[in-house]
Amino acid sequence: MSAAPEPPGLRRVARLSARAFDEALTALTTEFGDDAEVDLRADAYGHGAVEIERRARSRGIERFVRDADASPAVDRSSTLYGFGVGRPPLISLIGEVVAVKRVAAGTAISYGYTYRTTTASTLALVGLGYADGVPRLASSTATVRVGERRGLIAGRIAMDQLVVDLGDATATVGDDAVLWDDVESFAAWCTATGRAPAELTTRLGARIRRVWSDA
Amino acid sequence: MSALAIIDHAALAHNVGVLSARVAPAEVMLAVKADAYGHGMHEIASTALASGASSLAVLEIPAAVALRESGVDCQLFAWLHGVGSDFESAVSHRIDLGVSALWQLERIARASSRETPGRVHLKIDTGLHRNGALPEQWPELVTAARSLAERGLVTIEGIWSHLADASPDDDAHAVDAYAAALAIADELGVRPTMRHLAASSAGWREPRARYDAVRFGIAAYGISPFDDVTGQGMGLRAVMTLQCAVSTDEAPAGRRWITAGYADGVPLGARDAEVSIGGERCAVDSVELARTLTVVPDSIDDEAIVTVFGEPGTGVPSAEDWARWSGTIGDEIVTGVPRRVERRHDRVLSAPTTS
Repeated sequence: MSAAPEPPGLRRVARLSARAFDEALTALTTEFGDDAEVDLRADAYGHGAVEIERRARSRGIERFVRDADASPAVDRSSTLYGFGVGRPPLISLIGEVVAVKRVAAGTAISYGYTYRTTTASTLALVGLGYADGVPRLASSTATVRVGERRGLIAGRIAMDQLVVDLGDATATVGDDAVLWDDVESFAAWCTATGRAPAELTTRLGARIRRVWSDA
Repeated sequence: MSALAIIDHAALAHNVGVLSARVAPAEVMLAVKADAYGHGMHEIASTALASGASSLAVLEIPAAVALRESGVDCQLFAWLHGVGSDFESAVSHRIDLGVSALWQLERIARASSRETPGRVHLKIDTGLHRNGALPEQWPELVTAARSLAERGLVTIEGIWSHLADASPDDDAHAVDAYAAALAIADELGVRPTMRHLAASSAGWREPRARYDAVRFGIAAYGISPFDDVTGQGMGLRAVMTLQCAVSTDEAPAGRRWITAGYADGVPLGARDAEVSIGGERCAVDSVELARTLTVVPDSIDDEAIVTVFGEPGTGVPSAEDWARWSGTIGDEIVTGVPRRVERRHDRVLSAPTTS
């Protein structure tokens, strides 16, 4: 992880894989040679343009698309950011479990009481919401992993919070809550929200820290 | 990117005035979480406090501390805490802290002293099942807080909860559950002066839920919390307008690009959506990263102002229209305008300024 100190608030992390980006740059330069260019528009599709540019330059790339530029004729973001079908996302999205509750079967959850537990369940409250770019459309549809268990988002996603139904699993305050971190989970989030990969990452909000990991 | 979010402070002041009058003698705690629903926390805070709000709800400690350090002196309420949250900083900055669990109380007590006691608002879960002590945990939480209060380490400023805005029946049950929690606290000798339960929805419609303060969020930004009446129908005015320009990019016949896309806050997944180009409604064809294709009449002014959403009283689409077109609520439309889109704050008492 980066050496930046943990800020004194909720943990909301877009973890960027340095290794995956390195491999993507290799693929890009192999395919396009001297024409290889990196699209930095919209803060590099939400990845953080400053660090993306720095890392690309360190690999000899000199051509960049910036916000003022016209939309490029050839879209190379798929290769670079893992937006293509079957490609791992460059970003893993991770929130923090801030409360854990054990409730009975039939318990209603979140705004509008649109979801009820079917069994006695562990509920994990996670500090990410639609203000962070987690689409409200994913309410009761997408899943989040806490520990070994991937649970359904229980009821409506709120501005700053969502609840995960972990069934008979347990969780602890402070645990990581992983929305996506690999090909399968990212694809599932795209399907659940009807969003393209680029749409999901670009809309990730300013409260989420971008943190580069060597892995 | 060339989108611009114009923030109308006169509209905000009007809305806060309407809401304050409606719930008086209850006070208005204005929710400025999520960068004031995307409008800009610092700017919104100062106008809200000048217009009748008496306190601010900020979600989390770092935002509260940032407001305090900018000179805001009112009550600041933060309630969503992680294990890394800086309770020391919160206590030293006199931040009011929502407390849902014993571990939070213990952390606050460790950060407190008799000279600088922590200020706490105990939260009861009245059915939403997010934060808050479950009813079976409530006596223990109240007792623990009382014991710290007796030692002078905390002051119990409030008891609060959050309604689910489900059916009137469900919400009535939740209000009853809140009243029951207050009664239990009272029996334990805990009678704080700030009881707060309602947000925009119940604050507007349910007098019984108003207690000492209502935490108004979305209504203050001119957007209705209901699905059977609009903000305009409530006598509120839209605070945010999202504008852009007509693009010179080549487009198919009968179409023009506009210079804002989903990276600029144009909502995704909408059906039958429209924008206003120079006062004319134009259908949205497709939304890309940095531009949106629209269906335009034969003659269009290249210099026309494009309004994606704004004040519906001026004939442009509202954030609520976009919410309907994209299957969500207005809250997600305005908070979805990314931070990197320029905000222009048109203030009440001075000439329009840019900040």
